[in-house]
Amino acid sequence: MNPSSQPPSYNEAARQGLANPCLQRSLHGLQAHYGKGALALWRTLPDPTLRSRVKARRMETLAHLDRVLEQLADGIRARGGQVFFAATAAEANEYVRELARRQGVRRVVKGKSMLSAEIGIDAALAADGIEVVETDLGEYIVQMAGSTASHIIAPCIHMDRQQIGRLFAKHLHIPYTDDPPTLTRAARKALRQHLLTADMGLTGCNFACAETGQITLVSNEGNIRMATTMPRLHVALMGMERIVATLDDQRDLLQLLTQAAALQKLSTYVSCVGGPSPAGDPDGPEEFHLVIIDNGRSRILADPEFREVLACIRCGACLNICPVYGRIGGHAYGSPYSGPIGAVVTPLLAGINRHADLCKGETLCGACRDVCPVANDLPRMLAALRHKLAYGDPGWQVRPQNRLEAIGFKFWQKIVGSRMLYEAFFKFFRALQRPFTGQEEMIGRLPGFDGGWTGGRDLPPLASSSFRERWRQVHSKNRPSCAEKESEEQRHGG
Amino acid sequence: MTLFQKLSLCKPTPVSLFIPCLVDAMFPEVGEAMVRVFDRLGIPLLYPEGQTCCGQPAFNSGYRHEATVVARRFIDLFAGAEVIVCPSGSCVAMVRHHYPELFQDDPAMLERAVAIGRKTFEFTEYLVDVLGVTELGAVFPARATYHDSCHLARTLGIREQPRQLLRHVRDLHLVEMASADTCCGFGGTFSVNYPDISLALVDEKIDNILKSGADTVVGCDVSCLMNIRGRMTRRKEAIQVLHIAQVLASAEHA
Amino acid sequence: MEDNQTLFLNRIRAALGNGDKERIAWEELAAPIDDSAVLQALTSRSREEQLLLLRQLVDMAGPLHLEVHVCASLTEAASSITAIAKDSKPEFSSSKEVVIHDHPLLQALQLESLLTEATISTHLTRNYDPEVRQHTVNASIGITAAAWGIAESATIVQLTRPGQPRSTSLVPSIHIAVLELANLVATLAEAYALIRQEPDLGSLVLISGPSKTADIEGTMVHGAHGPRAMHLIVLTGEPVDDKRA
Repeated sequence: MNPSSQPPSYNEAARQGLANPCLQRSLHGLQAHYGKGALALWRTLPDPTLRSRVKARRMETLAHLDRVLEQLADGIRARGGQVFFAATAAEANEYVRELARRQGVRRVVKGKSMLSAEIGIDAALAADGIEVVETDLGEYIVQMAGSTASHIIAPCIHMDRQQIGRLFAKHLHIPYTDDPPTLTRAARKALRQHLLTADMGLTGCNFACAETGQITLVSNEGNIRMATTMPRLHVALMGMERIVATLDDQRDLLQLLTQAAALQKLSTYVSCVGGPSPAGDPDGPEEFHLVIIDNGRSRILADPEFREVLACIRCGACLNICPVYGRIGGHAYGSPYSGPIGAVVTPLLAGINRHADLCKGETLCGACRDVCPVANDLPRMLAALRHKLAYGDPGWQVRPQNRLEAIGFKFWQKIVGSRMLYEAFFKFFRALQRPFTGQEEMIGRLPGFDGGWTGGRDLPPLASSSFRERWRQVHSKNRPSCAEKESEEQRHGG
Repeated sequence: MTLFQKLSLCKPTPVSLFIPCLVDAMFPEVGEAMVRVFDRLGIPLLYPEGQTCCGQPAFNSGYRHEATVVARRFIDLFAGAEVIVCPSGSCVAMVRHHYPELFQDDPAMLERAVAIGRKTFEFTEYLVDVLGVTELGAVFPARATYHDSCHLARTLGIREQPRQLLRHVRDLHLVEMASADTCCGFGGTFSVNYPDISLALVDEKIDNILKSGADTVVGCDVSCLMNIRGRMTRRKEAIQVLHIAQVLASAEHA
Repeated sequence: MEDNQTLFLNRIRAALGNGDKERIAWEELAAPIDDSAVLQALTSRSREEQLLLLRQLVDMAGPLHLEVHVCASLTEAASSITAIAKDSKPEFSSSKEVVIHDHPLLQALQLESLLTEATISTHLTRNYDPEVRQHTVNASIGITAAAWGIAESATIVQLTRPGQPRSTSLVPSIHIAVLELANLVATLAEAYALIRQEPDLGSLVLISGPSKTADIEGTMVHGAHGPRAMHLIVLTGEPVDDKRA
């Protein structure tokens, strides 16, 4: 990831998101419709085993990733396409820059690609004086605003129509309007010229199909079709895990993707390409380049705890169901990948300590696991990341994140390891809390580390007597079963 | 109720009570309510007094070593139990789903962890699925709505059982709130470390409770209820926040 | 480039712990599929069943803003297309122009004379014709013949072939696709069985209506970068072409 100057902390950025009424409204609408809609879809699938079957097939493909990539490369080359394997973001950027240099590229039109943001290719090309134009409407708008996407599928969900209207009035020199059809028409007109005259189209890749030697590109706007048909060069960036073996696999994944992302049977356009246009064809491209990128994915592949995350098809459904994402928005994640998937994949790609807040800043409610089309267990992986942060992990270059917390839990273990200590502690705090209990016996303010709770909530006090005390004094009397067991317990507990 | 279940009630299996630390220290009345319900059903009860915690707080924060030590103690403590019942979905999820994770590399302990998971039940799950009981003679006049806690609903798949029990409570009118199973924002230390987000979530939960027209909200996990109630009183809303055991234990002359 | 690939794939093999293992045969990962049952079911579908599929297509097309015109004959189809062209307003230029795929089905419609009568110029997208691109950019309507239609999602399948380029269904503001009823299948799975039979499969695109976006405040707008309107002419009369148009 390429951070600019010091980015705001997760909590700071979350507060900004919480204070944005347009974001709150938009995300609420998005989640009510698409998130809940996806859950409803899964409940009524004609084949209830589809998701687990597809997941199993994804894992099988990943288990033979080298073979599948090899087959794909052969297929692309047989179609006259070129394939470059980039170990790092830098290698990928250098390849594309070199190609652009060689071919005299002055203008690039882009289809939406999270991977392109991950490797920072826009900045790399701009440094060579190449004009890079985002053509997906949402990406076009955030590019115009000098900002970044906040949702995988709906990049400018955090902006309202008035903001966009002002932006277009300023940059496209049209009279101010906040009418979405009018604004869309203005963008359509402005981008058409770019799309028809650009030298290179730069896209991502939803998934590649090894059997057919083609990549699949999914869209509704038609900009990706334009960017891959009109310019003389097409470069497709592909995360190495975004690949299926057969056409049937591709079909399963395609239908899951469009349903999970936007409740669609199919998106408006599904394009399959694998090489340059045939001779005699009036359309481009003359050259097709597939750049297959690792950039940290092989490390994830090697770890059985995290390999599963590579099955992700980037549908965005987890964003559409996550209550935390729904309140804070995508910018709080400080990464092109936001939401639950971003919380797992960003630390794994860009540093676990660096993104500790992403590992810990969720409630592990499990809604993402329920909605994921490929049944990824994101909460399990978040728990695994927290485990690494707790003690450190040399394999992943993690150092313990919070020594105070670690000491706290060592202390906690001692207390709960002995009923006597536990009760002593309880009695001690019960005495201590008396000055703090106020209205309705609730604690209104607690100094120190617990201010996080009492800032907005009352805290119930410790009870006047614990359950165990009440059991002993009241409930255990006259129970025949207890007399025998009690002596047994005395040997275990204490 | 099946014949097997009817027979079970004639010679009922003694239940070992697993009382979560929060219930023990802050909401003992919830434990007491559960005892009253089992007494009404004539279920013999045991309470291993050495119990403290299942280890969930440490596990959720990543401190698996500490969680394992505590889990081992729990497994030893409840080794002799025939059946273990707990008024908390998250604690049962810890024992059933995460204890085996903690002992992956220890085959002997793994076996014991799996075994204890099989005999540990959440309170409403035990009543409805094992004992086959939905009618407890409870009376609780209220317009009540039910909050699905995350571990209970998603990890354990328990959604219908609490609702069935509530529907059989006399004078209780059950209304569904919008997004009943959306997280209340507790998440353990999340509530303290990410308070603004946590508050936004609990506020939305409370708004949904208010919109439902209920005067009472019922749940099966005191951690959620503590979170909701804490914010409720701060907002000076008069809605009652109760654990389902307290509703089920109430009777004509309560 | 070879070196790059070897290094890259070796890193993956190491990550998988496959370093010393033998290279797996492709057939083990990708067992060949037997489509014969599906294809048999397709060829034995009755006209009534095809018409039911058409009804399903029409139902699915509505919300997608795909306008379906059911035409019993070539003449009817040709006059529907001419009516669409007459009613249309050019978006990016002052004159109306139409580009047409070089396809026997479209030839049979004899559109050129009808359109010329309405002062609408036409240009065939012949292979190796250097003028096609400019005509496509100037055109306000692109007419193609669909290889197949898919009823469950109101989708057409466009295969790129000589004289049938991709830009025709993409660059002009309005896209008119022509489909024979016999080429309408029920599901994506059936379409894929047919795609698997194609020798020399080139690029292809599945199209389900005109372009759209909901990026601004989640408000759906039809007409983004691809065509802003799409018409599907379904010929229910005697088949002109066999299935492998």
